Amino acid sequence: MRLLLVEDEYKIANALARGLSSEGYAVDIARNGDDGLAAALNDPLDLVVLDRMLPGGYDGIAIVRQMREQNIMTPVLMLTAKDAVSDRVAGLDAGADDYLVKPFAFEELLARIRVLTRSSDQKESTPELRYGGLTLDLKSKTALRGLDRIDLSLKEFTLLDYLMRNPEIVLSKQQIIEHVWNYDADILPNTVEAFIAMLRNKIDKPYPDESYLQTVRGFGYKLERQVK
Amino acid sequence: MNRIFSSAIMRLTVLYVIVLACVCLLFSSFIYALASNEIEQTSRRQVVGFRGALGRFIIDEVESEELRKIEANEARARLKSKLLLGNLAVIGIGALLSFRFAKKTLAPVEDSLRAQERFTSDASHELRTPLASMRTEIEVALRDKKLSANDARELLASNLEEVLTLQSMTDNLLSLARNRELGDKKLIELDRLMAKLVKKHQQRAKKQSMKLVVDVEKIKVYTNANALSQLISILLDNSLKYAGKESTIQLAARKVGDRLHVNVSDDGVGIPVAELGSIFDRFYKSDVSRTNSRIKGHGLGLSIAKQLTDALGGTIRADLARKNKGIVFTIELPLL
Repeated sequence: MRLLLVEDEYKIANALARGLSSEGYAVDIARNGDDGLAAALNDPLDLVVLDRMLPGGYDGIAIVRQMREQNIMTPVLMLTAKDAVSDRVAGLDAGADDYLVKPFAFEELLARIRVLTRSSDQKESTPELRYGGLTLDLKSKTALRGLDRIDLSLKEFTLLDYLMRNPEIVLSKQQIIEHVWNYDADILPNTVEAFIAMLRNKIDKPYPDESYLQTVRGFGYKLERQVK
Repeated sequence: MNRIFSSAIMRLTVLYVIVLACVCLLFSSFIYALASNEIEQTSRRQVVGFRGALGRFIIDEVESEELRKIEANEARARLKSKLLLGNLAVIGIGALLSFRFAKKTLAPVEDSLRAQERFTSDASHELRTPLASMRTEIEVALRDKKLSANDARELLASNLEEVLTLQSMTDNLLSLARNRELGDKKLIELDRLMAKLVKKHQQRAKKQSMKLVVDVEKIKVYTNANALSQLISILLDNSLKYAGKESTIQLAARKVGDRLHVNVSDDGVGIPVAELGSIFDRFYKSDVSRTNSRIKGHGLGLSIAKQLTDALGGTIRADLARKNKGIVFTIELPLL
């Protein structure tokens, strides 16, 4: 899942990026309002974590307002060091989905991100994704096939997470690159193939009767249950 | 916030109007009593005069008394309606004026409350940001199961930086909050005091490839040396922070009449004219310094400078330098 982090405080941005990356998110950092707005409007993102006070022409409120005006409905989690009720209301009214006051607990940020990226049909309390006999535990970052627990590397987890959020949809390699890796990563389509192969080795190979990762020749990949 | 004030204004207006109405009522009833008494007497006198002039006609006593009463009653009714009209006008105009007056009365309260609010909001931002940095860095590091000693050292160094920021901010805030009692004033040699001060800043200027030019008259000033050097230090520090590379900072001091004029100017980036007025506000930071995260400042220095100048019995102001490049601070202090 790809996140944009718009934060001008150098240290906070770096620490958050580091923490979020180690949770399997692909994180882009924008350090001022103008870069943040450009990225929020143009990049394929799954979530924006937005600081409210930013240098440059656009602050957090202006960015989220612009996004909503252009019909970009990516969830926005706003961060702020100001906690007056009026500040919070202004943020939410502008179109932010949630609000977190600095300093916050990193655990809480993670939980809120999970809530904001939870798909509408996934309302149960346990943070997991399900498709057919395949389950992805978002907290322990492991996959379950039936009762077998399958350990995943961080990138494998992020990749499977993206596929499971878009089941039965053909995803091109480019789409996969954009949602699984961040802006700075220099990824070739071959890398995607390699990761898909590794994932397939873990979740499909040991189970000959039923497969999930399908190759769509000439287009890309698709998560779909196929019984052999 | 707005609602509180508009309701307070309304309540105050109503109160004023009630007081006004009571006064009017009292006054009117007093006038009415007085005037109806007058009417009574005048009409009686008229009846007597009437009889005297038209003595030959025999008018029925009772009839004339009736007539007089009717006339007097009519006069009273006229008076009543006039008083009522007058009262209504007074109360109407009074209500309008009361509203204006209430608004004016509450304006300074509202201003100071807003300033207080802004201060709290700015302070919370400035105090929470370093805390947020530290908390996030520590929590993220603690989640890392393979944290190396090197990482830990880096984390501690970074945390220490934030602690120092918080410390200097705390010092500054406390210094602003304290009622400044200056120590003894002494006769000091200005050029000596400045020379000592400049030495410290000269090194920093060199490091940042800036120039610091000093032009101080040899004069004696009766003042508090500590406060004066702290004041000049703050201004030099401010210029060193914001003027930018290759800029020149000038410190000049001379006697003008019976006042001491100190100028600290630079030819750096300056600030927008509109912001000159707020430069001494607590936590004010120009956008320039907000954009540049390398500049460590939290906008309290100049507030302290202003407070120090006040305590020394002088004035301080900021202007844009020539061609809108850089800022000129001018301090005027009494020589004696």
